[in-house]
Parts: sequence; C-alpha cells; structure tokens
Amino acid sequence: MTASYPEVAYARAAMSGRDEAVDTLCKVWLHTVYAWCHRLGGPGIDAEGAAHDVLLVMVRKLHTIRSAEQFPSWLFGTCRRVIANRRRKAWLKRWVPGPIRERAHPGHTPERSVEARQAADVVWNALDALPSAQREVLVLCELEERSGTEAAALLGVPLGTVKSRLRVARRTFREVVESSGGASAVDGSRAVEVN
Amino acid sequence: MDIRTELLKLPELDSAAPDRVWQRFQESRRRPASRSWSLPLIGLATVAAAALFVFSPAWMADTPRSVSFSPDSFAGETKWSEVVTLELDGRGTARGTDRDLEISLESGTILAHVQPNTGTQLAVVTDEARVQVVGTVFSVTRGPLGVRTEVTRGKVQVDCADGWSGSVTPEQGAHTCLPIRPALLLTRADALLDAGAADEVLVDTLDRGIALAGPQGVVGGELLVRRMRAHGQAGRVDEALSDARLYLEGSENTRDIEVNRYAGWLAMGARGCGAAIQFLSPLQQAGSPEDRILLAECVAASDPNRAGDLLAESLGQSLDDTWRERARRDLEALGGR
Repeated sequence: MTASYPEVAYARAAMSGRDEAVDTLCKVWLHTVYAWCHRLGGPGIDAEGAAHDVLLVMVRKLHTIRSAEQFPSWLFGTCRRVIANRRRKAWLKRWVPGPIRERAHPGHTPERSVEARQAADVVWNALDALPSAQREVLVLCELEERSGTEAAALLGVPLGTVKSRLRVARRTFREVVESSGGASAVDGSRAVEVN
Repeated sequence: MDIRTELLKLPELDSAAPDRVWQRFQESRRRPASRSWSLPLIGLATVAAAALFVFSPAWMADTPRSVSFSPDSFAGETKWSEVVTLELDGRGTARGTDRDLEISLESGTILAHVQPNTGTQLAVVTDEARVQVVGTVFSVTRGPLGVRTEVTRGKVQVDCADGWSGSVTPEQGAHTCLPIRPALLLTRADALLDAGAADEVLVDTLDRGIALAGPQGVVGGELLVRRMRAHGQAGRVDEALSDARLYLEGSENTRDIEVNRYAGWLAMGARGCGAAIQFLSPLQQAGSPEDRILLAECVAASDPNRAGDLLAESLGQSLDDTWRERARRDLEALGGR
C-alpha cells in the first residue's frame, strides 16, 4: 500500500487561522511527523521530542507558508531541520550514561528481542552510513512506499534527482548491510518502480 | 537482497508515542510563548544590560539592578561584581546589588563563584528549591530530574519544596530537589527511564506524582501507566494490575488498549485466566489477533462457541507461525470447529 500524506485541505483550513483547524492539522500530521522523526533520526535521537518540536514550529510558523500546496514539503523540511538540530545536541550529550529506553513488547521472548535488536542495529548503521539526502529518499520510497513524484514534491527536488539518489542509496545501503552480514538472503535487488 | 525487507527490521513505531507527543505538545502550547518580534529587542536589551553590569562603575555597587538571561540572548561567563562571577547556561533573571543577589532560575544551569568572607549574599531560587550561599563555588541546574545543586568549594544551604532541607558540601556530593508539580514529576520519571535509573527511584517519583495528581486526569493517568509498567517489570504483578484497574477507572483514558493488553498479558502469565480475563475481554473488538487467542483460551471452558468465533477470526488475520499453530491447536481442542 502506498503511504500518502493527508490532503492539503487541512493545511488550507489551518492557514485561515482558526484554532480548531490548526489542532486538526496537527492531529492529522502527528503520526507522519513522528514516523519521519523516528526513521530519519535513528536511535540516537528522541523521536517523540523531535516530533513535539516539529509541531511547535508548525503552529508558530504556519502563517509564513505561502500556499497550502507547499505545506507537506515545508513540514518535511522542518522535520529535517529539527532532526539535524537534535543530532547536534545528541552528539554533544554522547558521554551522558544510560541506555536508551526500551518499551516492553509482550509478544517477544528475550532471545527474540535480542535478535530483533541486532537486526535493527545493522539497518540503523546502514541508514546512518548514507548521506541524509539519500537516507530520505530511501525511507520515503522504500519504507513508506511513496511514489517518486510524491517524494520529489516532499523533498522539493526534480523527479530525476529522486531517482538518481534512490539508485545510489540502494547500492550503498546494500553494500553496508551485506558487509555487516545483516542481509537475510542475497537474492538480487527487488525493483521498486519510481514514477 | 530485498531492501524493503531489510528496512522492515527497524523497530516498529510505538503506537502510543503519538499520544505522548500530543500530550507534551498541548502542555507546551499552554505555556505563554514569547513573541518572535520581541526577541531581538529582548536580546538587545539583555546584551546592553549585561554590558552595563560588566562595566558597572563603583557607584552602582549598591544600586539594585535586574538582568534577564536566556540561551538565545545571553549565555556564558559574566562578572556580576568584584566578588561574584556567574556562568549562565539557561533562562532566568538575576536581581540585586553587588553583594546581595537573587537569581530566579527557570531552566538550565548556573555556576556561581562567590568570593568568600566578603559578606556576599547570593540565592538561587526555583519553584522547587532555594539555594542560599555565603562564599563558595557552586552550580544549580534546573532540569528534567529536578533542581540539582552541586558544590565545588564551601557550603550552601538548600531548602527544597519537597520537604528536604540541609547543607550541601563537596564531600556530600550533589543534591537534587524533586519537582513539586505532577507534570514535572512525569518529566522526571521519563528522564529516569531514559537514564535507566533504579526501580525504587523511579517508583518513588511516580508515587509522589500520583499522590499529587490523583489517578484521574491526563497526567495522573500517564503516571499510573508508567508505574504499572515499572511494577510489572519488577515482578510486582498485583501492584501492576491494581494500577491498571485504577487507570481504566479514569475518565480521560487514551491508552485503554495498551493498558488492557499489558495487564492482560501480565496477568495471564503470572496469575492465569481468572486475573487476565477482565483485561482481555475489552480487547475482543479493539485488540490484536493474539489478544483474541488469549481471550479465547480463557473463555473456552465457559463459552466454547465464543472461543471458537474468536479463534476463527484470529486465524483469518495476520499471525506469525507460533500463534497460528497455537490458535489451530486451541480450535482442534474445541472440537475442530
């Protein structure tokens, strides 16, 4: 199923300045924003905190957007800036001790949890090895299964740029995962059409 | 290698996270926001005021003055007077004269150097604590865990709003005054969880928060959910289930499914169906296929038809092999419906 961002109609209503419309816009985008913060920020940053910051910026700067059609792209850019800021702070705080909080998963045995965490670490490392522009297209097109056109609109770049970034990102991601022995099977690339 | 398959190994999104983000967001919005047009003016005024007190002439020594500071407008080391030097990394206001100064700290850290034996009075004040000093080097940090006072040299008197009162010296180590508002205790609990703090410290914070907030209301509910999990992870099953019941009795619940599932699975594992069924039953519609399988096992003896329906419904949904096999076995045991 292709993930699609909510309609710009919510943005248009919120830009009219009505408080309840702003609330609705925040609620409609909350899950998407949190998912972006989680997937693009990685385990080193607090995705909930980042999503919270994005919503605050959204409410405070909504009036600066020129048209509702630009809202998704603007919001994605805001996520990108907040995540970059959080990464800088995380880098500064890297000596602070204490594990990242884990949430209990009632269906997982300890062994399964460890295996899942190790597999996730390989993927996080591979994503981390990518430049942010490539990580973004990989998350949008592969993980969220957005079309190339949709990703291009969100990123504010031409479709051709999305395609070329995606091609390089796939290659680098595959190399990193395979070199760390993380791929479950090497069976050739699965083609995802970008249109 | 299928890249999407690899990417799907990332941890699933926490379904409760958006609720927590929304809660935090609403709390942040309720706080008065500074107007963006006034920031440059405030910054300019603060820098001017800071420059004024750095270069203050002697005649100003006994003249009261007030300076606001924040990370955006003013931070770093500054000489308040000949006998007081401050390192500011936070938000607040400093008021007073050269030798009698009170700093109201909203957030962040202040490191104060006070020359000893000069009769200088310096106090750092927050909602949670008043730190009073005569001649020392010390820092006060207002952060998610509370107000932390650390003394490098000398001795300070700390009076916490949480009831603690005493002196802090370098030998004793830092002292943290606990927050006194439920929402800040919730923030402290999350910071403790992030830092992997000891169970008793976490539960103490949650107990204090729940005592202040009560089990009703959004903050009280959030505190209860965290205490339920803390009890559950420490093996205090009865306490965890009791917190789950308290939460579910509340009127502003947004995490019913999560709480019912956690308590239901915990009760099922530790106490059996008798304790689990009250939590599993509400999950018949809203829960996962796994929840319905557990519920079916609990009602199989008393209501085999309902159990069969639940199992058949679960088998029609996405299940991993272990659960699928378990559901099939349960269904066969019911007579192969």
